[in-house]
Amino acid sequence: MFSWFRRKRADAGFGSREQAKKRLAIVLVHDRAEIAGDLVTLLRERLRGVLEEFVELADELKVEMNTAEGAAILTCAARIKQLRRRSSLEMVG
Amino acid sequence: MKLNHGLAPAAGQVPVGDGESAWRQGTSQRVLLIRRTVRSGQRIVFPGDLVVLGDVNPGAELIAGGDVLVLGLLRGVAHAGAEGSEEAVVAAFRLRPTQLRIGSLVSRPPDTGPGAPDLPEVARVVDGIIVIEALERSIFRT
Amino acid sequence: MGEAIVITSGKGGVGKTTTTANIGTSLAMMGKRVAMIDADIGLRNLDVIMGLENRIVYDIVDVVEGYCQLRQALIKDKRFDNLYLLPAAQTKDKSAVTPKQMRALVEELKNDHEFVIIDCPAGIEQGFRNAIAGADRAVIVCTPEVAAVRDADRIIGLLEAASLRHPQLIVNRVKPSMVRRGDMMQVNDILDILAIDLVGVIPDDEQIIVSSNKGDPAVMIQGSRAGQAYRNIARRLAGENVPFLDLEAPAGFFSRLFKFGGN
Repeated sequence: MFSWFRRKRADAGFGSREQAKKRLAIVLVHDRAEIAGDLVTLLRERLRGVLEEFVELADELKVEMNTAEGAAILTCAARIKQLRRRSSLEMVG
Repeated sequence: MKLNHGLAPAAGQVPVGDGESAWRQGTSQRVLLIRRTVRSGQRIVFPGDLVVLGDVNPGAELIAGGDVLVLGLLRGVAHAGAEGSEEAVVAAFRLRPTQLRIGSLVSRPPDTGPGAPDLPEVARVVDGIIVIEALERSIFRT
Repeated sequence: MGEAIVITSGKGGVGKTTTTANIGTSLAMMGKRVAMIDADIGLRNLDVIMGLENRIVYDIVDVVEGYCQLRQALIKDKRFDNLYLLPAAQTKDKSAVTPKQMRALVEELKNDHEFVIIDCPAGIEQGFRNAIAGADRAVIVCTPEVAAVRDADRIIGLLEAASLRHPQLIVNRVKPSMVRRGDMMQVNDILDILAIDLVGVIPDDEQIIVSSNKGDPAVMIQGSRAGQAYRNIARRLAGENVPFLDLEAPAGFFSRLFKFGGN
């Protein structure tokens, strides 16, 4: 009888330890993504450098870090004016 | 009652400090009256005499060029005669200071021993040592 | 040349000052020359926990502003001749001290002391930046609560940005009975999340309040479980290899187990 009772408690997630762990995991994914602000700025610069070797960008490169379903998601959007021709690629590279 | 800030006490009030006290000289900048609790982190510095109508909590500091009189419980640090005068006194309705300084002397309550009595006391320098005694009429030198 | 250790947490009220006092006192009990710095300018507390509040004449701001020498502001502990406290200012502005001045102060203290223990204020503002400026290592204090662990994580990031790598963790106020019934995060849960090294676990202990009332650190009280845990932490910080206390076991059970284990 006692063993049944204890199992029921554990299954139902009554112990607040598990809740604490879950909440922390979510909060920290968020926090760590927010702190990554500087990282995003740096990333944007580097990515633009790489992209401009291959394409001419129409406007500023958009780089965003978001969180969804407990994971950080990096979104990168670029409007391209034109692809660089092979000759100009060689010049750059 | 009006806040008696920096003014001479009205007739009949207890005069503060020794014969040099400002109110006798009739100047208006010699006494500062504080009518509130002085709390931790607050530091009151005044070149003349300081009178507190309230308590002085631990972590608070009173620094006066002249005397310090607390009409309440003094538990913070009080420095009388801060410009070097060892004639200055610190008096309080209940004297339980963290530390007392008069002129260039510093003293603190002993770590062990009897507690302070429940009566008004005055600290002053006698033969180069800060001594505390019961506050009697004589100290007012009326 | 000594070593400077900052005790930090991010969140307030998790026991940084108590930890600083107990580690500093423990190291002194081991015979080390120790200086403790209260870096919480405007809200000083370490002097009260140490029972030294009535000895303060000069403070850290007086030192950096040149009103006194460092040795004049250092207060010798009333129990140990090799333990000193540099008190924070209580009535002055936080911005009175800069990280550069703090670094110079800590360097100077390291000349004469084997350990300089810095009590960091809560928060991540200038007080925090000052406190970590001169430190060689960092110890993070955290309790088994969501908010405390979250703030500890933030602090670890900030410490890394300031080139203070490999901070060590103290988990404070662990209640074994709550852990047993699944109502408190276990030390391992916190280590999984923060991914840093553990330097000690402090059980929740009423003696801590008694000792702060008296101004005597718990490490000096025989029979205080928290005091024992702090003594172990001090030995680990000094480089000794000390086994961890088993907080799950009831007090009597553990000591018996230990005795049998020795055979």
